[in-house]
Amino acid sequence: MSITDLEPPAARDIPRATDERIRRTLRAAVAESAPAATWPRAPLRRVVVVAVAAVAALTLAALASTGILQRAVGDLGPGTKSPAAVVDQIRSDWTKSLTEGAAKDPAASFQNLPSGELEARLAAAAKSYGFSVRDLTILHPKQDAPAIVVQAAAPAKVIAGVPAIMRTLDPKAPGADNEGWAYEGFFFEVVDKSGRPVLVVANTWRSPNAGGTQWAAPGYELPYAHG
Amino acid sequence: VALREATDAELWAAVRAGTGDALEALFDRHGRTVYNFCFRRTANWSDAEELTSAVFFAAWQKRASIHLTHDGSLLPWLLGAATNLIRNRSRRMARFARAMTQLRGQHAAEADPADEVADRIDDERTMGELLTRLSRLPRREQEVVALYAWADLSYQEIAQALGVPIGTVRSRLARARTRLASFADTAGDLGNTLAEGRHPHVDH
Repeated sequence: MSITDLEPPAARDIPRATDERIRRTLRAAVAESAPAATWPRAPLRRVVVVAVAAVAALTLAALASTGILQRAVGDLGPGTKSPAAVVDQIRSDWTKSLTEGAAKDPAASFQNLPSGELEARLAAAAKSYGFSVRDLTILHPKQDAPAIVVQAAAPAKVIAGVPAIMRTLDPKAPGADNEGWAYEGFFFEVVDKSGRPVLVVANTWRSPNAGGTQWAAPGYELPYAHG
Repeated sequence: VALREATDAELWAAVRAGTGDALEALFDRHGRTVYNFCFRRTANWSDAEELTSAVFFAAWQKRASIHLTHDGSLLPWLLGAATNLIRNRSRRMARFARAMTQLRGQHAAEADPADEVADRIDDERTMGELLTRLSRLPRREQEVVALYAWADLSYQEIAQALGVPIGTVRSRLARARTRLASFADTAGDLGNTLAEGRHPHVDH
């Protein structure tokens, strides 16, 4: 085999969609204007995070009906922000919470689905609920943390199925509310056929940011009962 | 100074003052190199996106502690940060590549031309094979080799990126050359590349 055979593939330009996603992340970071040289206080905590100690008491009812800890996010509602801006903010906050959780609670362990299983389950859910997968990115704060964006011509049907979809993609072992999840964090976004975000559910499970959030565009129901 | 004409040091001074446009200008300048370096270290384009985003995010977060000389480039710091992120991330993700190929192809095809998607899948397979060979080296030698052969950094820049003395860079590269030569049957070509100098197709 020659050197030419072993050369790395030629450098490629950053795809436009990728470039846009990275720039959105950077703009969100700049907008956050966190103090330099320190990790930011997780905004997710500011608006939605439920302290672990309060989780059990707060969400027993929600767990019984939905199996997942979620709270509505009043100040991340439509307000003056566009849906895209709201979703960018939620995703940025989610990422920061994962980072902080990995740094402050590295010992927590999650039984990630076996390789390929998440993709298989997602494909099955896509077929059942009528959506297509626009993006699947798996972050690695310590273990896997999937971020999924799906597109649906009939988003309401998907939203109604989100509790079941999430339980399939991110199964939970029996036990306390804040433990037993397959992933240390999960982000699930639904966009309509024009690409407009209509729903986000997201959670992180390492301390001190254990908790979750949900947001729906005007005209769509939140999938989980408020915590 | 117009952003496009500004030096890295000038842009970095603006970043430290909180100017987001300057950060994007640095992303314009170095993003492609970081993205391709991250790909070459992971053999996974999706991971490369995640890592590139994380590298520039880290640069913003740590801006107060990063100092550039007047003629300095931010690139060594960026590639050093990428190296650290790659070093500390879960190795498990690498095993996802094959299983995710089809799904990635589906969602990527929505944004990219089909032939581009196919090429990127080929890239991942090719790079995965090359990384398998490189993985026979100790991690520290892998890192030096990658920065030297696949990112075209100088010894001084590699030292800066990894935070080690330049002599350490030289010795690690020398050991890597020796070790690769001993793998002649299976990794000789990469050894030849190092012996001859730069990889002929490193692209920025």
